[in-house]
Amino acid sequence: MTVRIDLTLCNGCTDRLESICEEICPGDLLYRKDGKVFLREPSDCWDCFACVKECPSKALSIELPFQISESRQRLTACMKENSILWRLVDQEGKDLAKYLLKNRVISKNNK
Amino acid sequence: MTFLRHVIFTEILLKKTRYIKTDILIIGGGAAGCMAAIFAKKKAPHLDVMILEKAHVRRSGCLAKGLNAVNACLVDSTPDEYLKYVKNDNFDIVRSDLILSIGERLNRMIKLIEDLGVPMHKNDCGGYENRSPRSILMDGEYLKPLLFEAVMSCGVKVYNRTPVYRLLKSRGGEAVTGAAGFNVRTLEPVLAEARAVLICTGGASGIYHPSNAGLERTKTWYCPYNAGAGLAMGLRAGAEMTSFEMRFVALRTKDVVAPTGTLVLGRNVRQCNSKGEVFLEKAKKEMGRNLNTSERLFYTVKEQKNGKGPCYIDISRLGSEEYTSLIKSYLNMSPSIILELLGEHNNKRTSIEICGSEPYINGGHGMAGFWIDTKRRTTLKGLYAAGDVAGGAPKKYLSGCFAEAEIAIDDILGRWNDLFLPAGLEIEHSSEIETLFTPICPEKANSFSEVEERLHKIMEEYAGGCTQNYETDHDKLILAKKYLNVLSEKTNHMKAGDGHELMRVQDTIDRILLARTLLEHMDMRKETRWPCYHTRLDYPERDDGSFRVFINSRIIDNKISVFKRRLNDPYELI
Repeated sequence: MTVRIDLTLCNGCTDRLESICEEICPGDLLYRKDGKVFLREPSDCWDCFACVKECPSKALSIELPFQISESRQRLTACMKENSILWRLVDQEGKDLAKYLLKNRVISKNNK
Repeated sequence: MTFLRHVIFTEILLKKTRYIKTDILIIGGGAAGCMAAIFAKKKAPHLDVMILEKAHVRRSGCLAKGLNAVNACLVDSTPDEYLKYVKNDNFDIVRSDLILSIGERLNRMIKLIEDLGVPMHKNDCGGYENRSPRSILMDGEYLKPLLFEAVMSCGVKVYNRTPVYRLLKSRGGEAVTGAAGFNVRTLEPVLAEARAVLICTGGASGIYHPSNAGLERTKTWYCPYNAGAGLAMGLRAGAEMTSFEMRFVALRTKDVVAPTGTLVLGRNVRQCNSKGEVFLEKAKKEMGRNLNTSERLFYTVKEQKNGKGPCYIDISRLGSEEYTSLIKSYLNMSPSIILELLGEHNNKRTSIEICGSEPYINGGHGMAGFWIDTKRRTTLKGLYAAGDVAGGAPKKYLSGCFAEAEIAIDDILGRWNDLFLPAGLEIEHSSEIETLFTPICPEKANSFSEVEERLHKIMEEYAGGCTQNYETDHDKLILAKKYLNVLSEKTNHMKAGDGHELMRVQDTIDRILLARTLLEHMDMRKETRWPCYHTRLDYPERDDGSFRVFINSRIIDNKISVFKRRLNDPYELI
């Protein structure tokens, strides 16, 4: 399994018609049931991180499948106004590394 | 998940079809599709412009993962030099006219990317920071949402979760006037009619067995959700295709299949075999020239065949600042590799294994796609193609896709009054919709994943997949054709329990048609021109006498016909 959904953090975006991750997944792989989001078929996931980046509850992260690595470290991301904060965390969620990357230039032209 | 298998068919028949009328219909909201819509709305605000998108435009297609460089930029060079490079890299078989028309626009397209708000890397003089003569760096993680925001802000109508699988023609069949698909969520059939139709659906992955297996099978390099719908619907409607046999195979990092350009270009690294030999340098010396893209893959495969694999990129010489820059670069495009790079206990890796991906049908890196003219008109009246779905111009990448989108829109607007005016959707068009829903069969049908696996097995073993070192021959191709014909007859019925599964069923049907077309192309090109992309064991040499030509195809009377066209304008049939 690659996308990991922390069901204690996921609120299913129940105020929306569709949860955000369900709405944007390029593979149409996430669905909501009883107020939580689930992955339809883990082996169909591309690891594109679209859902991880856009999740407002920070409930999603990606870990390498066991087939590739025994490491259970996870990568997660959090969108800021014009940047994205990446976090590499261990199994307990403790930070191992952080990277803040600018992802847009907000100017008069494009605002 | 509740399976609706038994009730779904009657449910769909009862649903009312949604009829949509627009001026310019764009199929596929990826890089080319979004930019085409923006150009159309900016240049002709009075026209109605619509995108039908399989997923959600905000994060869909190849750009869903992000992008860390623009690989077609003319840094201190000219369109002619760009053409020379692409032509040389592809052993002469390219459409020079198409490449030049892209080259003339490239640098202007890069300015547009910057105007969208994408942070570009700048050098001390304020120019773009380049990692090679044609590649500039950017932080493009958010590129697709920025494109989406631009699309929405200029008033383009977007229908998300609406994959399209059929083109609609006017009553007399003289022009393409629309397209048919369905809404994945509601299963509502959708028929859209327009004065001009522009296909921007991208290439096709999922034709061959993926280079990873089992739970890892979707860790492909090319977007796994690009099933080549545009190519398949074009073929069905009778459009001419080109160069499917020039399959694109990417040299990528093993396991997570991340791009190697990020590792290699402009960095102090070495590509070695398992003995530590810098084999590409050796090959370069032997050849007395730089290696082409396909040759760099070929020599990597060759080392492995000769017991000198696996090959890897030695990154031990990277200083800590450069290592951090590498990580940041990958976060913009292929984040999973960070989990590998930093590995267990945060130990830095000193080498990264590399290998070839599975082959793809693609017109952005390779040159498989619609046969088009310089205006991006396909051979069907009223139908245009731009981006990865358009053939003949390899190495166009992101900026080239944008350039093609502009060329197509300029032509559509320039000849607006000459375009066929659709007479309104006809009753017979609803039969197209029926064909989309017929695969839903409740009993004893195969699942799409079973059929997909069968397709992969046939293509992998007989048509030069990754495990076959990309090699094949006539006898194997004949077997592949035979097995695929049997398979395609069995696919009239596949199980679909909901909208998602119906989309997957249609994707699988499309992939089988593309694979069958690919086999015809591969069988016709009786030479080995692009090592690994097209390697024929029975014809191991390049044959300029007979094959300095394009191999094109078209469905005529339900049969895939392949034929040769001359290399230069007017590209006569041979």
